[in-house]
Amino acid sequence: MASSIENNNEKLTLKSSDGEEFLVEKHVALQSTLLQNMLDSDCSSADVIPLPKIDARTLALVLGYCKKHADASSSKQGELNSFDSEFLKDMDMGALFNLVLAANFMEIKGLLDIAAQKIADTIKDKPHQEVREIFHVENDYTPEEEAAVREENRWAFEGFP
Amino acid sequence: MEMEMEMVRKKKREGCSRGSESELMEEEEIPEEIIVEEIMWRLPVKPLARFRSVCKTLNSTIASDPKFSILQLKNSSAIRTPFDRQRVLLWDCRDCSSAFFLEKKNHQLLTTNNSSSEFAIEKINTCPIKVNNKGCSSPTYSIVASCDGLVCILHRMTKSILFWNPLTGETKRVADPPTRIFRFSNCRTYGLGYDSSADDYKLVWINLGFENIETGVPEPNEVGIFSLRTNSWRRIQDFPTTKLCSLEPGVFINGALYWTGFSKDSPDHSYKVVSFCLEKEKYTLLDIPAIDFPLRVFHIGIQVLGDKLAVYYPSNVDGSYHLFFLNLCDHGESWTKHTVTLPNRKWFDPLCLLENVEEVLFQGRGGELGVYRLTDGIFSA
Repeated sequence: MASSIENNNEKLTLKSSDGEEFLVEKHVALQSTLLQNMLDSDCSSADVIPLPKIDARTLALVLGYCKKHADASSSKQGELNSFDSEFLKDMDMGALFNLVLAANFMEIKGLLDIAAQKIADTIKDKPHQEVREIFHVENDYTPEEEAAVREENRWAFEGFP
Repeated sequence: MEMEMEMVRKKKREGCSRGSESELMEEEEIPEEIIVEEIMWRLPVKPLARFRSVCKTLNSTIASDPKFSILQLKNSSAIRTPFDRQRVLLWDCRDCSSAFFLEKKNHQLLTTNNSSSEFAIEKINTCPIKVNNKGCSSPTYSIVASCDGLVCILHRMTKSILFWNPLTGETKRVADPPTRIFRFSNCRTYGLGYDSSADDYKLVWINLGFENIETGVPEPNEVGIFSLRTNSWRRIQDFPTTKLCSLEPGVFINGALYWTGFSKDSPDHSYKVVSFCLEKEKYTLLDIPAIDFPLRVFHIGIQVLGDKLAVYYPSNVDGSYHLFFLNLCDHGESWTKHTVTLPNRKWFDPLCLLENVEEVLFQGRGGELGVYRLTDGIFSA
């Protein structure tokens, strides 16, 4: 197995939580600070790097993002920006959550920024009750407390239930 | 940290690691620290105020966690217009989807939604003190500067200073500027900015010196700086130019405050942008590109548009405006020029860059609004 790593020394294998393996070029993997640190500290002697928290569908998306950003020259910022917005377009909340979690875990700052910003942009015009549902947060206010907090911020509630 | 962020979960799921194409009904979980640390601070102020009603943890984080508010504030960019107009633009949100104004007439805080073309204005909060005395030509209080939504208000008579956070309604009265370290001049200007190295808001107070009538020698432009963190004043190095183009507060971007000024004994191509780095407390002078400089210096304006500093002045040849964006890089600075043709040679000042990053919102001196498209140079009122 060691020899296969030497043959492929510009590539490494990542394994998703659901057992799918992805062969990734090293310069693409370097978009992830986590993987970069692993490679720097020579921890990559394992044949396969397991990513137990990231499913195959999410990992495929993450690697697509990394490849685009690794391959693009820095002068093409406009092209990358349009790639980024196209990349997140029509993505549902569940997929965005997975991306944020994966980018957070793999330390891919650019991806974390755009995915978290997309979530923020999506929820900003939603009523707070819906935000509770989206984040699965329980309302721990008593009705009186909730009314008081709402009254304090009444200006922000115009047009909202 | 973990404990602070503790939220009560409605549902707990196990074994969520299956592939999700076939699991459209499967809702994903996201840990509370990610919600707070990665998502909530990217929101503009208004939805944040609404989301205080989501749960107690979010409420206390938004209202009182200083780390959180600094993150949120850093994400929004500060802009303002001078305080002698009908409306004071306090700040806009990160994406310029909403801007906040203080209406001087009835001291109400207003917000516009300038992502739509309608610029709907609604009341959102009221200033804790009256900024104007009704029917009085010299207002008792005036807004001297704002940054990240933090508003600095000066009492004109007593010179006492109040910081006001319109989101939380919190006010803080600060130590009076020390007459020991500099005299009071009626000719003065300010700047408020954030020093990330010291995690501190700093107010810069500049007293402009006059020329001595007999000798013609200008007095120094004395400068004092106030630190919100230490609640104290210090005298710092004098302001470098002889004159400022206007008494409007300096604009803040990327850790520095900027004014426009000139030196009286230099020829007219010597208009300068004066920058003041809040961390190093040092001044830097940059030349303003000279096309056809206006006859009057106070026509040279400065504003933050998006993530860039812009300088603008009317042409003395025709009714157009020259608008320059400053590009700073390691090798020095360069300017990107735009020529804006305004309707009826009216006065317009740039307020902010709109959400699409292609259009600049202009405000006329009568309060009317117009939009200049950077891509094709078309101005529409």
